[in-house]
Amino acid sequence: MRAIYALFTGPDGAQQAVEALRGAGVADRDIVVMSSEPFEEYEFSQRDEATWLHWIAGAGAVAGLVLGYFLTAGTQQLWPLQTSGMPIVSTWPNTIVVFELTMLGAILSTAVALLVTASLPRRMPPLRPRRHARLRPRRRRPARPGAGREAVGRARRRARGGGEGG
Amino acid sequence: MNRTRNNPIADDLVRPLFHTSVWFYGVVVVLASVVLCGAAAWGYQLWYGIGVAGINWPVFWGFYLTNFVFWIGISHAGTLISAILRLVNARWRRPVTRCAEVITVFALMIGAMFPLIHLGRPWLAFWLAPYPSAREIWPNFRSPLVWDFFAINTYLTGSLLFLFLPMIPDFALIRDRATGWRRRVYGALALGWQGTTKQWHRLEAGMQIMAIAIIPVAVSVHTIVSFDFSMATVPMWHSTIFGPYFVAGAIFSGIAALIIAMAALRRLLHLEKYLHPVHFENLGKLLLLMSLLWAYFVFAERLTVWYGNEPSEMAVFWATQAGDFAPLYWTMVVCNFVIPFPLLSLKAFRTVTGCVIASFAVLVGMWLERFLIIVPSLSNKPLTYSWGSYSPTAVEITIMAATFAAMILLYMLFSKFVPIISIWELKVGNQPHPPEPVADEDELAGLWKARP
Repeated sequence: MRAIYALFTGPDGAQQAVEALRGAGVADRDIVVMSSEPFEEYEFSQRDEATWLHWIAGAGAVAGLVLGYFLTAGTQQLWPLQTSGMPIVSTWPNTIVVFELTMLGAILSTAVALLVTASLPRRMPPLRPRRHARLRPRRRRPARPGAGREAVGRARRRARGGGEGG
Repeated sequence: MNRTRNNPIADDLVRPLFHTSVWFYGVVVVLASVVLCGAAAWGYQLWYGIGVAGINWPVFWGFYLTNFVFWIGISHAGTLISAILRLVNARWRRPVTRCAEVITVFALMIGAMFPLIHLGRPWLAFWLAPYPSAREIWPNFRSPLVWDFFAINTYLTGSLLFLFLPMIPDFALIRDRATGWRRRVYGALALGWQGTTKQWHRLEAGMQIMAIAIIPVAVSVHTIVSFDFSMATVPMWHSTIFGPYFVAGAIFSGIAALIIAMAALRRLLHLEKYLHPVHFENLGKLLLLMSLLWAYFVFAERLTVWYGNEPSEMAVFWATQAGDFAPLYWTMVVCNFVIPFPLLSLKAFRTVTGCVIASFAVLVGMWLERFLIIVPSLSNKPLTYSWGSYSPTAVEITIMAATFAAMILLYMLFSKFVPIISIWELKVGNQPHPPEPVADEDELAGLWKARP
């Protein structure tokens, strides 16, 4: 895969580059803009806005509600225990537990969906150490006396077309 | 892409993570010593039994439950306030939200410890968890203590996620600046965040949904804590006003705690450039509103009891108004209303210092309020043979002091590992607006004609 990377000091430059790429026929899905902060007012930031997160949160809430109902009403029927003259399945106090589990379902499903749809967690290759490794000067062997003269001679021979082929 | 090559916001807010002064270590040692004293006091209580605490018949709830209600109330500072400000898109919220959310998480953790300490035998706390035991007995879902378990755990889970998710971009920023072990730790916490437009949209959409979900949970938590009292037929507890009264009190004390934390951070981490007087002024106005609301609730509650003239309730009423508990009661009124009202209603006094003085008074007053809700009612039960008194022991006082030290210690340590102000949110607040597209002359002429 080939890619072109460009670094901009501000969002205006990035916006111009995105427009230029589009003008050159590059599809939107092939253009990725990364930034250290969201730039909501720029056009390049308007992509990928559509999300199912609200529906997933709603589904999580429904799952929590069902779980809460069966946890309270179901277990009360499993072990019928009379308390203070209240019915075995007491809807009023059960509502509190059902409510909490409903909200917990919504919160957990939102968090999980957020991470999954944002492709997190992911292994990000460490950029700096590799770049530094590439830029680090190679270790040199200690020079042998006369090595420089030999190397010059080898180069001259190679230039004349003969030589030892090394 | 960074808006500027040299990013002063990130530099200022990341600096405390990499530079630690000597006084920091000194304060940490002092606070850790107090926490260890508290742990030793708890160990002493575990060894010799709950009898070493001052709680005894008829006052079975004393300092431990007072602190439980107090700390759960303090936890309302963060996530609730942050969620409301996020939903209404208040621009001044940006430097405030994380300071507030951290208070919630630590205060909830500390508050949730008190029922365990109060149990006396904390190794049996798992009886609250919903699981079928060997005899298939599930928890009694009609018990307010089980409601507490569900409410506090839901709020703690939600608050942790609400705090952690917006920290991911900041972790990524620190990862790219750090070296060595810090790079590895922050790299792991950043979860491979790249800052693509898709990730930003998901984060913001997710935070909106969580803000909507967390507000009713926050309200429910303190309502349920109030149910611990109002479900019992104890004089002056069995009241329908208790739910909103507790929630108002919790927000009141929570804002006070937030103001003190912000003022301390501003001074100690030199964040004057980001935590402006206007932030304190706005929070001071909120504190004033809650002070008035608190006074309204107290008046409504007291008037109803006095007018009803129920003998058992009047015994508690007069014990607090003119009896043994009167000095504490009137101190509470002074701290919660008489001091904050003039300080926060007059603009000249609504400075950083004024707000901090009012907040300290409110914290003292709200702690006294929790104490006065619990102890006088239990000391004056309906039948006079069950009247009694309560005084805390050294064990209870030490454990209480340790929790205050623990809160400060945890907050300090957090601010050394995570930027206490959300860097990316602050940068968004400082963004310039993009240039407007220039309309052509015909369009401008059309607009001119369209005007009346």
